[in-house]
Amino acid sequence: MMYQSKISRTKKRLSDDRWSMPAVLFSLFGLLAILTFGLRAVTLAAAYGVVPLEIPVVQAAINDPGLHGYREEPRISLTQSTPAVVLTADAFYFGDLTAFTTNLSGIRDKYIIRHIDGAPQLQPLLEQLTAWVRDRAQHQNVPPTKVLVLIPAGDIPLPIVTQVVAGLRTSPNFERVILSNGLM
Amino acid sequence: MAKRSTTISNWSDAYVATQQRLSEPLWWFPYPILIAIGMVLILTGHLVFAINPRMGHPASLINFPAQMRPDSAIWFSMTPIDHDIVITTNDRLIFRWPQDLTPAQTTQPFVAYLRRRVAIEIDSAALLKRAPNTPLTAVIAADQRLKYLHLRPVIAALAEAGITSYAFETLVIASTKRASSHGSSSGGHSPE
Repeated sequence: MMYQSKISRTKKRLSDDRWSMPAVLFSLFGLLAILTFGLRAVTLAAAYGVVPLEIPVVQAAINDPGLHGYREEPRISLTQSTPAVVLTADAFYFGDLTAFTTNLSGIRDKYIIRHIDGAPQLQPLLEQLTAWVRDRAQHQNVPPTKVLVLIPAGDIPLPIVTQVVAGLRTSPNFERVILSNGLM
Repeated sequence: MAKRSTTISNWSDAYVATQQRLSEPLWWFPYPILIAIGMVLILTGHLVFAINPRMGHPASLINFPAQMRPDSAIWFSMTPIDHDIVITTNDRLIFRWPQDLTPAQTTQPFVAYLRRRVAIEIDSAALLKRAPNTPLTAVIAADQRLKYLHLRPVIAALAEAGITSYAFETLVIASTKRASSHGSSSGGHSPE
């Protein structure tokens, strides 16, 4: 009898469809908080960096005889002795620009650093390249330049090119990196 | 006939039940409109103040601790979609050409766009009476799936438009930002 009465009271209570005000407000603000968090997570901008590169230009100074007599002077020029690095799927090759242009078939003016398990060996490249530039400056009287030409093969993924450029720019010897169109 | 009277009886019962139900106040009534108002508030707040300008640009960047960009630049993203290279600019223009074959005429609209942007940047600098410390830079948000041969037409277009400085954009996540030894400042930058 007592159970039937209890069941009857419970049925009566549950048949009342009035919503509890605190529960409604609490769930409403909870829903808004979740939506705000989700939308903020989707739309928030992250931090972005850049790996800078340059395109060489041909010097074409314009005379300015009128006002200030301004005259353009190149800061760095590409020459035949500018260091160049070729990046292929198998190895790094480095030498000067002559070695990869007019003397492409020569075998005594290029140096090779092979990838290990497909991974480019950037640190050995930097060490060897720095030593080669220093040795050239001391023994062959070739002045060191702060510019380097990188010639990646066409099938190299862009993330690898980006990281190689960033790695080369960490060297104090190469402040500027120029991407070449490729070997013809 | 009996069936019809039963149907009418059901309808009249339903009518009486609805009449009884509606005679009591409905406390749940205002809350759906509050949900709608809250949604409008949240969406408006995000649209006005905090939309990531890279939303809608499908390029997936590499995580790499590169230096931050100090000045304004021309920003665009490069993505391979359906055997095409798709370029989307920060002012929502789209340029598209095939991945494998890229004659020079294909990129001419993009070159014209770059020339127009260079002219706008020069005009802005003149109106502000301010010369930027760095040359005008084109920042390329290149997708990780791209290869170097896909970038060559873009470099040619930049050179044709007279832009001598460009850069690859990278995503700097928190751990790599702390570990970075050559990051110049904290915080991000917008493509504007």
